[in-house]
Amino acid sequence: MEEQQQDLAALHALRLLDNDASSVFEIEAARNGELEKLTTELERTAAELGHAVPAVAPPAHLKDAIMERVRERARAAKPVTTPVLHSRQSPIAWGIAAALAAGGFWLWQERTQLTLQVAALTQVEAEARSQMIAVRDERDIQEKRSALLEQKSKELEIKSTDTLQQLARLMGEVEALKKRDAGAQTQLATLTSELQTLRQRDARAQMQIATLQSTVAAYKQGVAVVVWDSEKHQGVLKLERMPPVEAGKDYQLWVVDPKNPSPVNAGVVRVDAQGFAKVDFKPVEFVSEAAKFALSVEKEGGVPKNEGPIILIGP
Amino acid sequence: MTSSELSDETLLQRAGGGDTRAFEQLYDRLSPRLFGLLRQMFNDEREAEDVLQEGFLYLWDHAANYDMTRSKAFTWAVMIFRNKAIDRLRALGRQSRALEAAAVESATLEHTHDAADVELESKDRSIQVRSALGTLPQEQRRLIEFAFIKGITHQAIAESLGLPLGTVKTNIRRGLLRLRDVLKGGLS
Repeated sequence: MEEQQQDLAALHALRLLDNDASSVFEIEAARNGELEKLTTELERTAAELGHAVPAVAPPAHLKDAIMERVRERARAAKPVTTPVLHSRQSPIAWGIAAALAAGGFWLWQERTQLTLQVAALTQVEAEARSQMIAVRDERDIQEKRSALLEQKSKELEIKSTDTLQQLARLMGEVEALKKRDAGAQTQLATLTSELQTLRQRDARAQMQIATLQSTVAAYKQGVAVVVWDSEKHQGVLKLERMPPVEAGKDYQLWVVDPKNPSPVNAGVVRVDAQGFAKVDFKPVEFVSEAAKFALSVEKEGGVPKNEGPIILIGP
Repeated sequence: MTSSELSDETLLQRAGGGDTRAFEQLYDRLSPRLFGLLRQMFNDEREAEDVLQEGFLYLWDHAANYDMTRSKAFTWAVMIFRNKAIDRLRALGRQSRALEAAAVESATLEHTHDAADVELESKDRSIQVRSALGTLPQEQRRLIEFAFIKGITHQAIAESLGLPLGTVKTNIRRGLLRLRDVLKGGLS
């Protein structure tokens, strides 16, 4: 048995509970045989304390008054005896007897009715008590459920607070990442732009422009410009105001590579009547470095190795 | 067997059968202790007399319901009289008076010698109960005596004695359980 129940049993035994608490406890005890037994024992123990009270004789007149009233009640409770007339012949006696019999029967009926009513009331009381117990049980269950719900609610509240804090922290992190990302984007754009610039610069750096000049008077008025793309290993030659070559001859372009003992053949160039030509060329061998470009007059159709006079060279 | 040799229980049973002489004898045996209890509870002679009268009339009216297998006549009577006194005290709103300093101080079961006309059996039992009370720790004894005499709620006891409620409950429980164990065998 729990200590709390023993506490209540002791308090109830000494009548230290208020009326409401006492009623609740009595219902509890009615359902719990062990508790009821303990309560009865403690009630008797408490009553035994009466022996420890100093005896004090009450005033004599009190006894007289009490006994007088007791006797009155005793008299009132005694059945009324009616003198019976002992005359067999008397019709009055028979009449009285009949009346008494009828009265007795009526009283018996009344008693039977009352007994039935008492039984019915006892039944009603038992049902009411049972309902009270059921209501109390239901209330106990509800209280336990409420307590459980409250506990869960608190747990959820705590979890919710934690989650909100985590969410706030994550939002902060996301915000920081966004800022960092925006910075990275800006940096990327800058780098892309710089890369673009560098690429353009690099492209320009890879493009080599060379102007070819002549020491021969007949070709001094001619203009020859070579644009060389070292990465693609190809180039463009533009000729203007070049004198026509004699029959059976062609201009031929050469690329001078310091690592190659002979100029590398870049192809035959034919100018029109105005002395103009613009041709794309690609050397027949790999050129590691285009140190110079040269234009010579060679046999028609060109030659693998330079034979004729160099008329233009540059840069 | 003379009527003076009859037990309290037998007298009460006879009273339940309408025997006023038996009841009168029972009154002579029980009333001094019961009146002493009521005087201590009320601290008022007049109130004690009223409740004594009310209690004995109740005892007469309900004597037929008494079951001697369940309790001694005296303990049954104490329960009845004490309940009536508590009902009266609470109805009169006497809690405040019960808590007066003087009342608090006097709320103990004084150790005095019983009058010569008190029954021997009652004297013996009185000695046994006082002896049992003497085995309790002081605080438990004080609280139980106070509770028994004042009949106020345990909350009011805690308030009047300036003790925590838990202390009051624990001491009363432990004290009463110990008292039961010590008196065991003597109880009906």
